[in-house]
Amino acid sequence: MDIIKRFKTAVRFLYDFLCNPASHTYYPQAEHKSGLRIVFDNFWWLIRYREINHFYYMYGLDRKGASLAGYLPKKPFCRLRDKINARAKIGGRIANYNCLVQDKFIFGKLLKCLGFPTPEIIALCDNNSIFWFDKNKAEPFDSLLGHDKLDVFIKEILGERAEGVFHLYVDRSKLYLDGKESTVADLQRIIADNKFIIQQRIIQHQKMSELYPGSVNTIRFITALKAGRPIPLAAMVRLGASGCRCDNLAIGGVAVGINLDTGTLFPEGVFKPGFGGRCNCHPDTKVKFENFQIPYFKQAVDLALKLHGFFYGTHSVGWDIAITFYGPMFIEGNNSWEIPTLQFFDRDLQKKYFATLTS
Amino acid sequence: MANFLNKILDFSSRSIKAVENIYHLVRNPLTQTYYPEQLTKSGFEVLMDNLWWLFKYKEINKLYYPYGFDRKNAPDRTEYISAHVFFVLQRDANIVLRRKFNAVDYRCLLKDKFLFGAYLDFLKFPTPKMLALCDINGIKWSCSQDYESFDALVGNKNLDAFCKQLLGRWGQGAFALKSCDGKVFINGVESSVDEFKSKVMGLTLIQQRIRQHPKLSELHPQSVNTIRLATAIVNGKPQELLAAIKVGTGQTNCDNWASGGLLGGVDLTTGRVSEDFFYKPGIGKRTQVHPDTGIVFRDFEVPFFHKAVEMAKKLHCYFYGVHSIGWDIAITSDGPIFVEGNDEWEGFPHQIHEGGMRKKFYQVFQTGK
Repeated sequence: MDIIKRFKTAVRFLYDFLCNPASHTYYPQAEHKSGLRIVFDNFWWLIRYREINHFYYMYGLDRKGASLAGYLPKKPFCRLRDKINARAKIGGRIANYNCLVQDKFIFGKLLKCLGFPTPEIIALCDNNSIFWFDKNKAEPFDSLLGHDKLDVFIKEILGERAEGVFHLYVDRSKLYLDGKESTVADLQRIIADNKFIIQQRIIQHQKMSELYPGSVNTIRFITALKAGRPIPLAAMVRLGASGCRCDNLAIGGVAVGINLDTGTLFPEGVFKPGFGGRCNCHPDTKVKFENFQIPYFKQAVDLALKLHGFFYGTHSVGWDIAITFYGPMFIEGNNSWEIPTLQFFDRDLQKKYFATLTS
Repeated sequence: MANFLNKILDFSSRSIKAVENIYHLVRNPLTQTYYPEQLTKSGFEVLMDNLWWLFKYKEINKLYYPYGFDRKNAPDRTEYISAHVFFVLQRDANIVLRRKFNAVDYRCLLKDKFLFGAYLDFLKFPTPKMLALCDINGIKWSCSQDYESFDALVGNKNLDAFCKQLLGRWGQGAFALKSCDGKVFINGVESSVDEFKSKVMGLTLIQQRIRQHPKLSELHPQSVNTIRLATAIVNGKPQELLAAIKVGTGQTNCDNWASGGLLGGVDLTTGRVSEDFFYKPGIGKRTQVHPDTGIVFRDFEVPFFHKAVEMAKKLHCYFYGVHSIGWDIAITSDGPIFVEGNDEWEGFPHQIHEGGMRKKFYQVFQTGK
């Protein structure tokens, strides 16, 4: 039944995906392949990699002369990445180190201990109590209301893709979640059986706010271990858009590649399929991307490479780095970083990635 | 075909090994017994006992004599848990708990000694100070994030440390390192930087040496004698499960049972050690007095024991993804200090001094199901 259901969904998606290429294309001015050729390309990808190429139009593969070669399929890449990241061999023994980046509490504490900049974790809580690190003691959950002007983020320790992340503000014993008045009981319901961290809010660098002030715009920087030493693979910046408080691409954010040598933005940004196409300036602030200099980029690269030296058990990591007035700040590390958007900016990414594996 | 042949070969070699092991176990019960003052079973009875265990649990009971099963008034063996069953229960409990945490595997926090130290350090739990991390490229001192050459060791005045492989177990690859007046000493013997380099396997942690509490030094001053305390998450909260003490013997600086150390029980309510201490089979038997220092174990009270139990339970709250942990805790003049945490700790040998713990282990490990 499950197979039939999945097959039906795939067919419906492919039909919608292929029936009107003009509405999906990221390159409306370019000369395009015929409808039949696009169908053929997609079936070839489906049969070869057993996945629908959701990024067909984003990669510009619908343009005449565009070749499918050179693009890594998403699922096989994820399988390979997960397999390698989950098996670190140190001194002849194997261990899985992914929890260090998967768990936001452990990640934050470890970075603080190693002396790398990361937002302060103020407390750890479940739906019953809150452990305040400054007081070094657990208090009942409603002790939150006693912290007037508390302006923080509350994050599920194992949340992914901005899931389980809320802005929390306490003002005169009233609690606001993502700007809306709420109650302690509401928050307890959200937390349910999970664990959450309460983390200091970041004030980003003015230049990053120029790009889009509504969200903390973070750099996604990929590093990988080559013969035990971390090297940079790719970087892009993610910007919130259309009133969004989050820079996540899955909810309409825009991504722009970063030149690793200069720290300047690429001329074009890109939306995820379904949210838009390409753009050369931010859709809301109209700031042009080309040659926009990311502040403290070199420091961010150096720090990330040094930091990966302490995450010797994870082969490749996607670091989420915010830029503050004082320099880079590590928000998260991701062992399950995704390749499609980065591939849009750098077609050699797969070669660079495989080079780290053969070393 | 080759696979089939391999399986047959493997089965035959395992069978031969099992027969050999059983032969050694039943060969001369009187020389192997841990209770020579008591009436013991005949060779045939010992053989039948061991065959029963082998068929029931598919393993050789290597702790047959320490458990005292060879005595005429032997305890009920059905109340004891086998090593295999213990590890299966332990693994399953971890899997059940992991499901709650999106299948994230947290065990590296315990397995990796550098991470363990860094994590505890930040949580403000006492742990030996980490001085440096080194690999074949050089040494990375904790005060800086850059590599230095191995010669920096000689320049480091008065280094008194212990080196451990990052993922090493049972003390394998661990050695004492000292440097003073431009000389390097490994395990107390004058050595060279090159020899140190050759001992560095993969990533190695250099940790400050622990000065144990004078009362524990009375037991055996050459080794740091640690408490093995097990805690487990029961109904969402960490609870103490059992406690033991490991005491070194001879000139060894290691308290490990496998390297000739003694294992005794610690009463969770009083903090007093058991009257009898046991060597690992093949190394020695049972003793009430330390063979080197002559200290009588009876009524010996472990200093700061209750504090150690409280701290271990608190600490386990931060290792929420691991169901049960065997903590190695040293006791200093200032209180307990956490040396290691083990996710694959061996619980079954504790039955030597605690008696059969089958029911208790089933209860604890199956609470999550």
